[in-house]
Amino acid sequence: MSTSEWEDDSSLLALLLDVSPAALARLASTPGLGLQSLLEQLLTFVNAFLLLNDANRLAVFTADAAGARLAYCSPACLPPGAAGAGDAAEATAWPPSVAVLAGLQQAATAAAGAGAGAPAATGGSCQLSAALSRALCFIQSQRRRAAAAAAGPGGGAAGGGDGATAGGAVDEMGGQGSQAARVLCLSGGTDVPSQYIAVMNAIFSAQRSGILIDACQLGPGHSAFLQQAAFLTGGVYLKPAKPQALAQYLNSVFALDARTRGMLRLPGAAHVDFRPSCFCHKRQIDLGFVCSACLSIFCEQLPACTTCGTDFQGKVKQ
Amino acid sequence: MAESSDPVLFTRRAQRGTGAAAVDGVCMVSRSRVRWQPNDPSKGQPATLDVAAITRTQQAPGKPFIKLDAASGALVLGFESVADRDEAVDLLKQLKPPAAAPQQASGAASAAPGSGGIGAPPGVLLPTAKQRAALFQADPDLKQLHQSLVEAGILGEAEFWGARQELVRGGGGGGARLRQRAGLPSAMLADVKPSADGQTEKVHFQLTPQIIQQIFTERPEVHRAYLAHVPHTLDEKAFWTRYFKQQYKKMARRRRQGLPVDGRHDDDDDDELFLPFKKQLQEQERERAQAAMSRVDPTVNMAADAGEHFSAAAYGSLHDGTRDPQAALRASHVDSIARDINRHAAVVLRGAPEGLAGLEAAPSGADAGADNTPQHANTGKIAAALAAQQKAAAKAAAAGGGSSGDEALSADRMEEWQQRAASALDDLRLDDPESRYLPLNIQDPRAYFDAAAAAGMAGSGEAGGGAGGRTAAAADLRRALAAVRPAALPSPPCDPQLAGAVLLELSQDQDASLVEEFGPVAASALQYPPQDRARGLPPVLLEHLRGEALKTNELLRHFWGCVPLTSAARAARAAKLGRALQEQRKLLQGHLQHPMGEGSSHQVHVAMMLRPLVAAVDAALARHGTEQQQRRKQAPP
Repeated sequence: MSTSEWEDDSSLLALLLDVSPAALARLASTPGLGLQSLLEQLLTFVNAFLLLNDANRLAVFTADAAGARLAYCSPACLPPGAAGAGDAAEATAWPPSVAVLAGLQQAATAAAGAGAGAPAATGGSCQLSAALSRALCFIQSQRRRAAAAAAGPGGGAAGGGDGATAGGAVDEMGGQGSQAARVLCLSGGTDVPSQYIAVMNAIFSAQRSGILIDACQLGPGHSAFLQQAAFLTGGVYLKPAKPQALAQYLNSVFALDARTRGMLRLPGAAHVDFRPSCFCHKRQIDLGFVCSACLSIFCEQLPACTTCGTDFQGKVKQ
Repeated sequence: MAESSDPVLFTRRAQRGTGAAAVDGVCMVSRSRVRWQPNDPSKGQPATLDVAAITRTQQAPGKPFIKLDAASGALVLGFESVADRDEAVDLLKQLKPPAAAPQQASGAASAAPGSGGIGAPPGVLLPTAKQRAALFQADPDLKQLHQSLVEAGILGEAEFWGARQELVRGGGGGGARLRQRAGLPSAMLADVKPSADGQTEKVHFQLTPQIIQQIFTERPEVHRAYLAHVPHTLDEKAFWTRYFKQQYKKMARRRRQGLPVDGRHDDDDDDELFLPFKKQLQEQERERAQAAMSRVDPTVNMAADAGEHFSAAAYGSLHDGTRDPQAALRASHVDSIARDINRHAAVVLRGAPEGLAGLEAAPSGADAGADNTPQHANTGKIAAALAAQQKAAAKAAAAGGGSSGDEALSADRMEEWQQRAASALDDLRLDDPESRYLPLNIQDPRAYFDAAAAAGMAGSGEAGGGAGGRTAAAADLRRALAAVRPAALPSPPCDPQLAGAVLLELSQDQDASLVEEFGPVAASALQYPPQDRARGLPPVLLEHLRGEALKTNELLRHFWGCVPLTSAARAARAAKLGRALQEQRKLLQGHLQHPMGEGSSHQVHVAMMLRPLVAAVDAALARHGTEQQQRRKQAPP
């Protein structure tokens, strides 16, 4: 039957929007784009994504220097017992851009409130590691919930009165137990080398759970972190040459699910910058020392590994 | 002549000189000299060279010629076959004094005084002619590389084969030089099974010197007990009887699936003969572990994790306190088995101790008690030898640990770690238990980013800095958010012409620089899928380009092997390789410019193939430039 093929096409997309001061300043000053146009094009993409498949689900996170916030998630992502889960779905049926924008506004207000109290950060880049981890946790929790719902239908159906609703929920979740998930990072800043370990750990856990990380780099230069993230997880890294037509990039590259991408020729990552940051000073290095036991990376020769304690006794493999 | 004291090792027909002027003759090689004699004394003079005086040997690829350079002049000989020539070359290599060998191997560049380090490192094994022929036959690319790099004088033999030691050593022939260490059987001691005769209640254990040795190494407490008690307080038989009684009880217990009958731990049932020594050992082990911990950065400490303590009872959130109390006991039982297996693995991996190999051949198979006189002597010998060896090892460890271990604890190191910890993973800090579990949403980003800036990182503060920039940016965002009308998004969302250009860009895999260089041809050339792009090219050209690519990559590998330029030898080698890379770059550039006639899509495809190589060469040359500048700066004026 062809139904099984169609059921798999839905996906869960976690959108990370970089709203750090550095990124905002950069985006606002991009000629022909501007923040408003960027948001409009992004919302167009959001609408398109949710139109592509009825079961597509979306979560939007904003990431700034203080961490990540969940700005919006599809009603289906809310826990079954959450207050007004059903009502919200009814009220904001279409277009979803209305609810997404409202969520973004709330997040921006909340960030401003928190930012007033917090001392000013010297660096303005976003916490990519925190945002990625947050998105991955979100996806994982969705998967757990779907698995739990798929595992316990017998008890719910036997319950009689509310068996119909329980069964409905299971039906909906059943196909989503293995729903493909991916993260799309809309980044506007530069890499913060001190986050190297945390970001790489997030990337590896995404790789392990089969979550794609896509990246659209709008900031200055290329992002080595995002390149590696896309490369290791099988996602797409793209630095738009014409950011003014962002909607076109988003719709033609990032709206597609992993299965469809297999049948298309997408812009590939020609050059991935694999340079790591050293564990001791967080410098980005192209030549360093690697612990032979735990593969920790150092920029200078050490008498013993500071991660695992292996004694090099002056003999270090370069 | 000296023939009697210096026998001729090798005699082959060989011509002196090449071409029409060549003179037939015979080449003879003895231990100290190479001699050539003409068949017809009227046609030429005999020549003699001291082997030690030969500064360089050169061979023509594929032709049976050899050129021996010496201070007194060069001797060019033509053999009847390449095999003859190779034999002579190998013989000469063996005869040459070892100190001179690297010079010969790395060619003219190493002839300069004081640069002996450029040549072969002492451990490099060169392949014999036979090995080399086999390797070349198995891998034509290797042969081609060898021709274009070694025979052209860019790389020395030792450099070339030094990077391929696995081929040379794995290829047989060289095995005779490596002595294999004697191994240990990997059977566990559990294999010493008791044999019952079925008639009486007695069980019998078979002991061989090998097993005794294994018991001693795997269970040091037994070794110590043996040294202390035998033969003063116990005799050999009584000792082993007690050992196996204890062992038998332990086995029986394990067979009952670790359910302790009387609630005792698995470890508790040790005989009091071994217990004091076991405690002593545990104490030592603990001290050693603490010493090892002192070397570890306390902020990131994986060594503190006790690897053997996996257990049936889960840790952390999975731990269930209401589980049956037997589980903990069972866990300790599992631990003890794991410990035994780990200990056994460690002993087997360490290999047979030197000096004990001879004892393994000693007569064996005596019953544990029936005939203990010959065994007694043997066991005592084993125990004594092991003890002596352990003492020596301990002494060596103490000498090594004294220098590194004490330094590890110095205040400087500690302070350095603390400083590093301040710039590292915040949630792994030990000093403040409160901050050990930082939430993901870091409340005070200042500490985080200050640390990054302090570590000398290029700041990412493009935002115009400070609180003003932050609030301005946030206000911008809110203004933009307010301005968007979500229910009536602009249609079209972006400039349609731009969107069309983007669609083309995305679907055509366009390469801006290629299009710029080749014009519209590039666009049509790029329409072929990647796997079809080489189809129209002549196979000869493809093969040639492949060879060039292999050669370039080999050169690059050697080049990056010299970076950073920490010594004069490395710098000299890098300079030499840099020149070769420059030549190679010119060659590649030549291919890029006129490969197949102007304006063809083939040209574009060749460009796509070669450009990454050129870029890699450029990167290497750029790195070389900066390294040289640094060296110049560091050098005293």
